[in-house]
Amino acid sequence: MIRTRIRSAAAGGAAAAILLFGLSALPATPAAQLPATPRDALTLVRQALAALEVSPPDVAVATERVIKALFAQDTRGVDMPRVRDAAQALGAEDATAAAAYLMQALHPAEAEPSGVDRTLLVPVRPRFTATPAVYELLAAAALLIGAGSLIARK
Amino acid sequence: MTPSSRWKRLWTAVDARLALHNFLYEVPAYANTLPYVLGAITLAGLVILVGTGILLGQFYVPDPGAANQSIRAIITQVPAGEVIRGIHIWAAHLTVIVLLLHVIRVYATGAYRFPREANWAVGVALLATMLALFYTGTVLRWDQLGIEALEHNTAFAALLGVFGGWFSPAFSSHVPLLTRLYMAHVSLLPMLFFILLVTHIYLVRQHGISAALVRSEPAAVRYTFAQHLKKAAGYGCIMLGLALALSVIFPDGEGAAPVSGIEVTKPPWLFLPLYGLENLFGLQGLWGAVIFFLWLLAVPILDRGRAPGWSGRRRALAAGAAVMAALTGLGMFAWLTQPVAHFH
Repeated sequence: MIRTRIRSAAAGGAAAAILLFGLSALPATPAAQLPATPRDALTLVRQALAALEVSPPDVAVATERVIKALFAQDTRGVDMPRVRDAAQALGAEDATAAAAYLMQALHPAEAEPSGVDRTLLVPVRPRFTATPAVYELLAAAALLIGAGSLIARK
Repeated sequence: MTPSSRWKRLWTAVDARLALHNFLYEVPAYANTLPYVLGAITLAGLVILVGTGILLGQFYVPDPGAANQSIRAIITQVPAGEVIRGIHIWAAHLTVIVLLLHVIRVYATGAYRFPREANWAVGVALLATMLALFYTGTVLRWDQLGIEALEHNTAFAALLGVFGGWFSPAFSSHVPLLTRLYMAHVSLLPMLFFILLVTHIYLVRQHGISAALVRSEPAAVRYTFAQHLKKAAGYGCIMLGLALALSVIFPDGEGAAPVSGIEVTKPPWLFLPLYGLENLFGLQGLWGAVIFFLWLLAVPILDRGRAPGWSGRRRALAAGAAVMAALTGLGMFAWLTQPVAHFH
């Protein structure tokens, strides 16, 4: 009994030592390895656009990034007057117009060596459409469910 | 020769070579009821996921510069690509739901107790692997949701210190983390899952199906494991049909090409409790996942009683209910709040 306790205490001690060794390697700030807030207008505009493309649009984050973009020193690839238009649209709480302006603001970046493909910045959002092919697929789904119910019940 | 005798001859010939009669061992009647078939239905879901995953793998490019475009191509150019991807995504949701129900059933019936403690631990590892598969699949979307999931991977690597090495981008500086997570999604995790699954099934075979908690078995009816598998195949067909219908009615699209350094999305429902913890405690909240799995592993140690029925396990059932309530509460909290920036 005592031996068992000593053994389990030793195992626990070994596990704790391994854990402590691992934790000792923790960085002082876990976020230190993560990317810092960018300073170039191109990334900031893309971030603002990303914030407006989620549902519901995150206007607060988009506004913050647009303001930072307006004061950015590196404005390569960005049509800054369009960013100002986007800022005004955000001020008027028109997220759709702001997103459209930001998309236009990225126009020069398409010619940049980094190559921003604006077609990839528009989400693909397929919707249910009542076509014969869709009804055929739904019929196939119903058949599978029916056949599965029969097999499971048998 | 009658058709039935022809089938018998065929069966005899095949059985002589594949020893399929080994699947005809007897199982109790309750083993063929829905709560006890959930594990096998999970297996059927995995078959769907592997099948559709192999098809998707032919067209997906696991490179940060091309992944988003390749998914768009799958949706718009590959024949039936949109439907196959939809089935893959919806089947993943359905399989995880069935797996969680299976875990709840095993917990509620106390099937983790002697002599099944080791199999419970293997099951917990299977659950963790399934969640890892779901997580890596989310990253592979490579839209804003995907990149934010990836950044959580990096943050978690930092939290784990020396143990987080593999999860860190610095582990292999010339191979993008997306590519390595793709490798994990299609190779490493499925292989681990397969090994754990074989062990799980082997141990189920050795210990038999756990005892029914409330139902008494009618002695006159005899069922075999083959019937158990047949039922699972039936439910698998239902799952495939449901996934197909859902993929048509609620088709899944693809978000814009991602940009790092911003947090504006919330994770899929499965990770909402963890996201809720992160909202409350910052990145340290990610330890919640570790604590949850350690608790799951410790369950057979904490509940070692042999009392049959519900009444003998009041504490264990109360603990399980409390954990469920906490997870649901955290999930609801995360669902109702706006996305929060945790490290930007």
